[in-house]
Amino acid sequence: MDYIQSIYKNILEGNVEEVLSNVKQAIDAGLGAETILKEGMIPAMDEVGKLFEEGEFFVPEMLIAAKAMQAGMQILKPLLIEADVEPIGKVILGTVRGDLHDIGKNLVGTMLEGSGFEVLDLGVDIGPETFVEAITEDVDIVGLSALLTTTMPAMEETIKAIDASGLRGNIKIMVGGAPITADYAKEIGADGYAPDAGQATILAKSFLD
Amino acid sequence: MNSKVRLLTTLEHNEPDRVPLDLGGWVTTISVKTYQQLLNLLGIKREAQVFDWLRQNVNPDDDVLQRLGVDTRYVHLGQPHSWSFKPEATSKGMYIKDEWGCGFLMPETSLYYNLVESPLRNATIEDLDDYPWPDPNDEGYIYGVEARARSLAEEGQYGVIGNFAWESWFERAWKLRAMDVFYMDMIANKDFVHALLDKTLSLHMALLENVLEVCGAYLDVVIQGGDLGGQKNTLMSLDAYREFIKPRQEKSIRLIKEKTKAKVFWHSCGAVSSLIHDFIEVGIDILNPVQVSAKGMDVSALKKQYGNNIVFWGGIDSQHVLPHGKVQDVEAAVKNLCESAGANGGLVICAVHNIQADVPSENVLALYDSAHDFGRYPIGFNQ
Repeated sequence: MDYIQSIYKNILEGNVEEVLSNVKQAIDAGLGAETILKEGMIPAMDEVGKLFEEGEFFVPEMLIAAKAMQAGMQILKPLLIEADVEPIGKVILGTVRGDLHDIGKNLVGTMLEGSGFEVLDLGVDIGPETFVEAITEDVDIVGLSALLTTTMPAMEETIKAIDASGLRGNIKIMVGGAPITADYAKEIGADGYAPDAGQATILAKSFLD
Repeated sequence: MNSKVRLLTTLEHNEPDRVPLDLGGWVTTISVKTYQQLLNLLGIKREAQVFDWLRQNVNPDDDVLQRLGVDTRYVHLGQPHSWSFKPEATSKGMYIKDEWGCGFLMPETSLYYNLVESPLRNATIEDLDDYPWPDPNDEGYIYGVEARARSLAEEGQYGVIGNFAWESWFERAWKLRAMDVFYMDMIANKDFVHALLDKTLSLHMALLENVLEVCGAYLDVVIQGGDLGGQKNTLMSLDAYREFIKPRQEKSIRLIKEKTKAKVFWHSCGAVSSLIHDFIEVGIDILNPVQVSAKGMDVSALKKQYGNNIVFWGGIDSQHVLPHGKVQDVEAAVKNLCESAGANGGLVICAVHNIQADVPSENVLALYDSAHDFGRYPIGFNQ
């Protein structure tokens, strides 16, 4: 089996150590970081997202695949920068004010990174002003997360603050979290909604077209 | 027909005079903020008091329960003598460690205490032996339990519910380990998951044994639980559920059934329709909260498939209808629930999970008041 195939397989199986050694071996064998990312990591994370959506993968499988992917990315990141490989886009992520839940948001971040995005994760309980401050010229997408119905209004406030700051411009805003629906996303002025991390990645990519 | 008979009738899958109603306890109560608004709406001049510090919920007062026509009354565990609720003010918000050593924080922006420290995050199986576990024999836990349960039973007016989940042996395990680490361990560190669950379950069962010893004879329902579902699917595969959870449910429920004739209530949020068959097998009599907004949790379909063997307890949507709907939407949800799941009893109505701080008090009142109308048997069934 070649290195790329091994990386793909070991990400799907969540074998962290194996992914690390596969990536190192692939680099030693002369494969470029961009090739490893585009031919091994990205297809693996796409498959993980698909399997989760189809109900074949559950939270443990998804988390551990994301962890394996992240381990590989730690090696690839500096090499991608060194090789001047540009990320396909930049995303700012955060759980909105009053909400401290982050497992779903973290998964979205990992999946996006595994799909070639640069991700700036602001963390949890993030106020509208912090989102606004974090928006720099190179940001393409802002992702807002909320698990609680009681923090859904903070999502709308954040979108309003971004609009009021004059920074909305070409930025796309995507929202997600258990109580969020596509209708709600539309109502509060978001550009899109995704029900899980795999679909968040598909949505984010669609914004770049 | 009084409340107790009404509840017992429906739990036996027979039709009482109307569908019973619940409010109180662990996962079917109400936030202090909404409760205060409800008191105001009802013209009751009283300051609402927090009872469950973690979720900032109340233990509803008896006059409110009577006004709403609630058929249940709760018996709660006491607080252990070895621990007390003394949160510290920190720069990030109010902070406290619970009796298990898990750290919780309530920032000013948050309505709840949130888990922020999981002391066993990096632990090995060997570390579990040395961990300072809470003592299930701490007499604080059973303080007042026998007197409360006995007086409710002797009064004979209401269904007597033992709120003895003790925050769930399953959820306790992941709170100690951190949820993401625990879930990954289910694949990469199975022995640790088994060892930790054995530990939390053994403590839980020791406490159950003590508490049921003093009040088991007085109870109609015992509360147990642990979330196994997400919005679209179960959190873990059926195989993982059967490996890690089901045998332990079986063990603890066997103990409950040895100690009391009470029915066993299991709380799990989310899309758990694929587990209901197994729930029935392990002896779960009541499923709560029937999260109707999750995938596959259409109560009318569940009623057809499992309605003869399990009671549905909950069912009024709290992700959309209760916080964002109008009074008419709440009434329509109550009507629909009664019509689709009320046949042959086996239905108790309340919100899906605790009534949150963003629910208008008018909607709370509409839930209970309309259930008195739409829940009256004979119900025009819609199946």
